[in-house]
Amino acid sequence: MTRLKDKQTLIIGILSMLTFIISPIVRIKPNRISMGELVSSIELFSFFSLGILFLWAIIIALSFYGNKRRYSYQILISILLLISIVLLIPIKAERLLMGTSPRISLSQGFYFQLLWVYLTIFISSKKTSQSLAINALFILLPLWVFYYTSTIGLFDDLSLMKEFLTKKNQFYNNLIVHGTLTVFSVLSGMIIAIPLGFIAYRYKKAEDKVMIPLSIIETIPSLSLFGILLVPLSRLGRIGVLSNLGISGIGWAPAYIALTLYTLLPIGRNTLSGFSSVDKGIIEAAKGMGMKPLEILFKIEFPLAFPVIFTGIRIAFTQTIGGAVLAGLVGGGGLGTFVFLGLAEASPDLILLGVIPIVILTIAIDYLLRISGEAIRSGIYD
Amino acid sequence: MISLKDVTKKYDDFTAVDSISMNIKKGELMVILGPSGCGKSTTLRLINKMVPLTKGTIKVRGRNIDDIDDVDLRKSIGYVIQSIGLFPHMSVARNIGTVPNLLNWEKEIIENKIDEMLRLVGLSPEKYKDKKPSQLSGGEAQRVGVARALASDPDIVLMDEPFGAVDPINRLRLQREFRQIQKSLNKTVLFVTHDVDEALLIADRICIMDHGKIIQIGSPEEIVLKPENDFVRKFFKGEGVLNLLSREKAIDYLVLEKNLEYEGVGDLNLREALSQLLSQGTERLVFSEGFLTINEIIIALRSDKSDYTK
Repeated sequence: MTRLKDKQTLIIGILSMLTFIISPIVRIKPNRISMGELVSSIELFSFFSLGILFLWAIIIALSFYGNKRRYSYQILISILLLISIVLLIPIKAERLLMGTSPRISLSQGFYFQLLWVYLTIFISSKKTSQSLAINALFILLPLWVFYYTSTIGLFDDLSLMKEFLTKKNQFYNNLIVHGTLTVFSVLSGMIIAIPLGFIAYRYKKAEDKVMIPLSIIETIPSLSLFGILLVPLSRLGRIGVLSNLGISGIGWAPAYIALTLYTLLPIGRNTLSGFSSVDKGIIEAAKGMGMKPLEILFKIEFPLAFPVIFTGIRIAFTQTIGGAVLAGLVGGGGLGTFVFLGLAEASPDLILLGVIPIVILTIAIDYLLRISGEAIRSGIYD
Repeated sequence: MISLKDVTKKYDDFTAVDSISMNIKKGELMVILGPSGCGKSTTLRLINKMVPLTKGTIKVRGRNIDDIDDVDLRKSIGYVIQSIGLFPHMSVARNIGTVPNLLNWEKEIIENKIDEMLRLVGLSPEKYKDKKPSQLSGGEAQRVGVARALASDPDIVLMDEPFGAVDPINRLRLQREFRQIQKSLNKTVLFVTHDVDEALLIADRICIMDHGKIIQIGSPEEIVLKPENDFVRKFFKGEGVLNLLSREKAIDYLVLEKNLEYEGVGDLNLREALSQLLSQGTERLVFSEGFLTINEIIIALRSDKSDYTK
């Protein structure tokens, strides 16, 4: 008997088969507001469900198999699973559609499958040493398949797609607003917090005076912060020049200011700890060899502190992408608009239209910043 | 080369260095020896202006250091500290090239200098040039530290417990090699340590400090054989004389006669020779070049070999 090599994928495989059988995979609705009816995977996919279960069975079987290459196979099968489930749903659900404006709403069974596939790929890709190009191919292949099939209208009956199609222009505008808001908030945060963190490092007496206010800002709930900003901003908005810029108690201004304020602590704190982590002996040696203070700062201290500072910037980025949802609440636009509209209209699919791109953006930006952080690090340490 | 006159350093109420004076001659290796907190490191750091002076005058190459720009002064003096402080984000080569680069030497000259320095400290340039400090052992890092301090060919080198973090076996090797390098390049070195063995092994002259004051300055022989007071005597725990013997090569004191059936003396030192005499319980140690008795060892101790105390 072969010994078990990989407990994690085994458990994931078993759980995914179980949830596939038990959980309903879609909800078929005759129109936008009715509750509709839950449909189980077996019912929807009929004998194709055997195929899905068979693919999971292979992944389970592979976890008993010691060869290193099995991780690549597991990733490939996971991607195959993802593609087949996503494509099969609209194809097989078509026969169940009826009503004035019928639509397919994805249900828990689908999200479970998504989770298991993601976990399998995540765990396996950590253990393979395959090149970045192959990794990128693994990510891009399903994305391309989904993009292509959506252009031929395969997903048009999906409730999510219907929401997207009716709000297409709004969606792209809000996506851009969301991105712009995030980028500018983090950039402003960097401009303010990196010098602050440096001051806290260089002048020991200033440390508390700088870091404590930053921590206090972080503890203010975002809704209260909007409230606090409302009064002074609406005052400022009465001044001609500023109101032309669009500054007022609601809109982009409070969102931008609040998001910037929230980035100060992660960036400032990491700047402080980055500089503090530089060995004092190194600075002593540099000084003793006749480096000028600015040379020490730019040739020694800053390069050595930078990886930690960059981590702070990455944290600020991922935090701000999520936080920018709240801009929707104060009329600042962004993907949060859909979230709050969906809440108001009790339409979960509209909420998802806002949430899904945020999740994808967060993962993608975090991944990109991690890679570029590594690249910068190895550049500095060269 | 370096002269200190009535040099005092105070931190608020605490006097770290108390009105000390000394002269260090060109090519001399002066060791400042003392317990921790005696002001020896501070004295060293006063010379390259890492610490500002409270009172007194320090002259380097005949010029008052108050008249020399801090950065220029430091660039002209080699500096090695216990933590070494190699720059972790730079290769060994770039570390060694730091000061030549600050002095804007030409690229090619710097490259050659880096190779020369690595060879000098016994590391192969091909193997070590592109390594990172994190890939070096403690001993190798210390060698690179010395190479870096010598790279711009400074005539003065300040060293603050440079071998303190190295294991005992490597430390002894480094000390011997460093002593040879220092003599062959004729560098003026001020070397701070609390390690008595180290001081007696490498020093031309030793300056013993305690509580910010100089207790005694003299050749190792003077310090050990004619200690100024009880503090100095206790410092060597009565064994200083043995340490002195380890400075002397047995071959220099042999009574010459050919004994071809015996082994050669090699680079045995007198301390090891004495230890062999005692452990074998014989009166004479015979080598192919000659023999050695307890008399020769006593004569060796009595002769004054110091060039710097006269």
